[in-house]
Amino acid sequence: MASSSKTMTQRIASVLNRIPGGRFFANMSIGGKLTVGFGILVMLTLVVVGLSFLSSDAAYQKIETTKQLRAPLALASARAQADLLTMLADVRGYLALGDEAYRTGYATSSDAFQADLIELERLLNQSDPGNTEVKQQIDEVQITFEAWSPYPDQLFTLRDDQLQSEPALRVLVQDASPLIARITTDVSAMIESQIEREPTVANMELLGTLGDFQSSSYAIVAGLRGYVATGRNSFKYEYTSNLSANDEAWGTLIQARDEMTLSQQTRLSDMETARSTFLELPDEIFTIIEGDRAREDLYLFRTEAVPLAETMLQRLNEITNVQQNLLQSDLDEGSSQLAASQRRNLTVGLVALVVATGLAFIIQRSIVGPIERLTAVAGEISAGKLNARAIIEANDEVGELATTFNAMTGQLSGTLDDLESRRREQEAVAKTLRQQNEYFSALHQTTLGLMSRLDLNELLEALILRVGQLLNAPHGFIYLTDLTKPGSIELKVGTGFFHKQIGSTQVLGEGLAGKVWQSGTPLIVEDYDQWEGRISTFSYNLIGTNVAVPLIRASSQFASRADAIGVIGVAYDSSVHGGFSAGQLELLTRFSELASIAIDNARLYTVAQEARAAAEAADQSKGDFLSSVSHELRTPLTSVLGFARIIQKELDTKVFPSIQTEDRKVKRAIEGVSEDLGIILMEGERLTTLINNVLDLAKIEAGKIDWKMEPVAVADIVQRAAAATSALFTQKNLTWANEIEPNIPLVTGDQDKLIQVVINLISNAVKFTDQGCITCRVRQNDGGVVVSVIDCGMGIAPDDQPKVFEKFKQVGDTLTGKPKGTGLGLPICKEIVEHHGGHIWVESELGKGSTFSFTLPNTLASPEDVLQAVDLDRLIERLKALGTKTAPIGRQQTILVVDDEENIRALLRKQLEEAGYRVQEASNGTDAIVMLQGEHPDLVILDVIMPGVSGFDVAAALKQNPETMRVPIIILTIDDDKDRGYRLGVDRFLRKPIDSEVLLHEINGLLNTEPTEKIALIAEEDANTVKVLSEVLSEKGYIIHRVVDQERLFTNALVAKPHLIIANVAFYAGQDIIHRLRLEESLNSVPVLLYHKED
Amino acid sequence: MERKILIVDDEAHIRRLLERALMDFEDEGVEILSAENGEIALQLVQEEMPQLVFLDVMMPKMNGFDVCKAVKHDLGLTGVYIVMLTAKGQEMDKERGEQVGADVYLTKPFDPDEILDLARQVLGL
Repeated sequence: MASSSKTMTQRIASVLNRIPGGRFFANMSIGGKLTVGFGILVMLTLVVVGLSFLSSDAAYQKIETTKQLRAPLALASARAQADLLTMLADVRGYLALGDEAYRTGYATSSDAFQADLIELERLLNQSDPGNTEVKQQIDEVQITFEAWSPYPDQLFTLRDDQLQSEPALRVLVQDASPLIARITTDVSAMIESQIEREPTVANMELLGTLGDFQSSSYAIVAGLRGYVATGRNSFKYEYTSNLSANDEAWGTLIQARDEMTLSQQTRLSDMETARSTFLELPDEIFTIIEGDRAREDLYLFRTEAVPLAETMLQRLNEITNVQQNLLQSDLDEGSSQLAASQRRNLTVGLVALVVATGLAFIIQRSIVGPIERLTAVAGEISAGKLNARAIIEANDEVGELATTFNAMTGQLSGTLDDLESRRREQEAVAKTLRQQNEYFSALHQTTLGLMSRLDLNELLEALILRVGQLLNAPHGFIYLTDLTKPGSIELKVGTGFFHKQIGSTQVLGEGLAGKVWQSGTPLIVEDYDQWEGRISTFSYNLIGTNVAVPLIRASSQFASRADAIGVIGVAYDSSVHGGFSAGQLELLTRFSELASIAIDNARLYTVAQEARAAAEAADQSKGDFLSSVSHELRTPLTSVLGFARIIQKELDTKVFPSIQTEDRKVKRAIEGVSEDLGIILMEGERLTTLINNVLDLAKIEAGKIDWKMEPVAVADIVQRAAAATSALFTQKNLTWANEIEPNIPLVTGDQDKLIQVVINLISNAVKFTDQGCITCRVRQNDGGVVVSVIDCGMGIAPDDQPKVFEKFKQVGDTLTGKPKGTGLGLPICKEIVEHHGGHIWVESELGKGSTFSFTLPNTLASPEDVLQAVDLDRLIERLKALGTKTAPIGRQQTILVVDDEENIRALLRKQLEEAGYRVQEASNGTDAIVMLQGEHPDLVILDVIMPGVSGFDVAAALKQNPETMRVPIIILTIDDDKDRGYRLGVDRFLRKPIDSEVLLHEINGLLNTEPTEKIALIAEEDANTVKVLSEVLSEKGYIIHRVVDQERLFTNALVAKPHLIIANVAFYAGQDIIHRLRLEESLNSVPVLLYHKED
Repeated sequence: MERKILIVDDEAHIRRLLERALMDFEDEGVEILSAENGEIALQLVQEEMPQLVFLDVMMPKMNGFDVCKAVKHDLGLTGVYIVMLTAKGQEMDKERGEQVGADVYLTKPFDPDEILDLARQVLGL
């Protein structure tokens, strides 16, 4: 592709060069090329636009003519036609109906028609004066109209004169009516005369005939009149039917002429004349009515007016048609011109497009093409083909760019070569560094893993394995010095060939290890078989390269053999000679330094372990000793004190009263005996206190005191201590004062022990104060509650102040000679206060008095009482995470064993694993709590007394966390504060020593008990929150009780006996309810979960 | 009913001390019995049915706890009020004493007057 496009571009370039001016164009600048190209395009556009304008203008002219002339003429002509037709209709309407509206309508339409004709003429003159044909037609219409115009009025007049317009009526009225009148008059006269004649039969018959004739004559006339008036045939029939009756009567009358009187005969003759004339008229009337001139006006209209109107219509129609034809032809011409124009436009446009495309191609070739080709070359270069060069096609900007580009490429190529060589150098360095890094990382890991190993043999095994891995050596050895055998080192561990040699020794300077130990420097032997220093007993053909370094602690600044605690080394098979690099030696040396520290640590640890074991044994024996001493001392002391009291009593009550003597010596003896007995009793009691204190202190120090930690009121403690010491005040001239601040918070503490502290301080104060006031002050500060006992006694010298809390250091004992205590009271106070997390101190001025103060932290120290509110969402999440069952069936169940004594953990592990449980271990409370935050075990076995966090603290932490509160806890201890354990929710309490059968039985019972339905109490006002919590808890098998009234939380809890209380922290209203719950026996083990809602 | 008090201690001095402390009762017709070890004590309790027993803890053969347990649990004697006396002021013992059914627990050294008062209360004298 690239090559074909290249040849293509070259070909085009050569073609361009061959075109006349092509070379010139190619050498123009890009700006010039663009100007020429766009100039041509603009010219082409102008030509296209001009041609298109001319074509459309011709078409426009045609259309304009049509618009200006043809259309108005046709329109006016049509309008005239319409008006003419309206005129005709109006005339016809009036003639037919005689309605005046038609005459008015005619006048209007006639005027309109005349106006139309004038408009026609005007239009013609205005637009096409030379059109004689149309002019002639218009003239014809005008002439016709002049001929027409008299008719309507004539017709209207005619219509108004009925006799004129209706010839039949005229005949009837003018011609027939006088004849009828003559006939009727004659016949009436004849009848009258006949009546007066003699009533003969003939005369009567004549009278009858006359009557018949008269009536039939009337009927004839009536029928004729009806026919003329309406033209209806029934009247004509009436006429004809009566005519025959009339004729018959007439015939009879004629025959009877002779019987008539003369006057009658005259009348008859007159009648005869009239009748014969009359009888001709009906036929004439019938002819008129049944002919086309029955109505004269209509006839005239039809024969004269309508033909004129038709002529006019004809002419007007012709005008319209002619104009429409002309209009059509003009339009046709216009559209054909437009079509032609479009065709022209298209042709010219195509030509322009072809020319523009050609131009674009040329411009592209001469501007864009070179840039593209340059880009392609740049691409090749970036792909690594640095020898690619751009073709310089023209002298324009692109050409310059290509020139610069080529120069740059040349430089780049040089730079890259340079870079490549540097990169190789760096890679070599990096490789070295990486190797070192790997070594040190390996070393670091070794250190991490090994430094913590405290068993020496384990450590050595681990070291030799590790060094073998690090150096890829199949054989390794560690020799260590042995204090019992100076001058030789012993092979402690070995791998490969050296494994069998374990326990063998090497003398200083002998063999590889001996030499290295002697010199304190590393030694590499590349071919052990050929080495002159080799041990001859060691088999040949086994080892090739053999390396050893001394184990010298890195901290020794001046390393020497004396500091070498041994030798570590590796060896390779006999096939391997040499190849042990300086880096590897460095690694081995570093490793040996770390190893020697670890070995030192392990040795020290072993020593420390032994020392600790010894100390523990000593401690134990001290405890036993104290216990025995206590017992052995108490028994004689009981006798001494007991008998002394009995003696005192006997003497006082029985002996002395019975001695009635005046002998001074005897009296003095009696007094002396009393006092001496008092001393025996006092000192005996002091001895008892001393024994008690010694035991107390020993127990506190051994951590064997049962601390009954609970929320206590400090004021209460002070009051009780004051009550206990009130007797002391009465013996001396002393007063007592309390200064207790209000609202002192509760603290966690052992009430009895704290009372003991205050009693001790008060009795000390009393002891050293002869008169004045002793004040006990309780106040609150940042850290907690401060209790001070202030006296105004002898005071303590500044130097002595720190000593008062030391054991058996009674200040000023030698000088004042007034020791009254055991010397252990304040040390015990100190232990007790410090156990509570507080401290005790004294402020004093000699001779003015002393103030002993101690603090108690007011944060409730025990975790069971530290309730921390969590966010509601978090609480819900934690609740959701609760297991519904303690352990799914079929899974191996895990038990966490927490005990500080390793042998107990080991024992439990063995027993539990045999029973099929998985065992986790924690050696102290802190570790246990940390482990519980991860995977939850199915059950926890807890020792109570452990250094630091106690088992009770762990239990409290477990039961306080919703995620772990269902994990059963078995307390296994010699200490058995069951109350406290159960209060925390501990499930079982087992005593050491462990009865494994009982333990396994209990574990099995706890793990396989299906949880029964439990009750959860929710203290919350908001119904939605209750709903959310209820849903979560219901899923976990809880029955929900809800408390909405803050006041009733406590009582509701008492009644409901819930297994869990969940409360909004705002609702829970501080710590008071917690204390009330904690103090209530049935509720103090219930976990309370507090949450807060984000507003 | 004849009133009887049994004193049990392996130390003769302590037995004597208790007898001396309770000496006044003999005028009031109370019989004071004593035993030097647990076995004898148990036997005497069954034979004599004392209303009150002062029982030392640390004794050879059968210790106080066992005697107390035998009396209170095994024999189920409800009319025997047992006061445990111990030289070990340790709470563990105190608890154990309560476990085995001891009614009162006193630590040595005790005041003879206390013993007398206690006996008066128990015997209703």
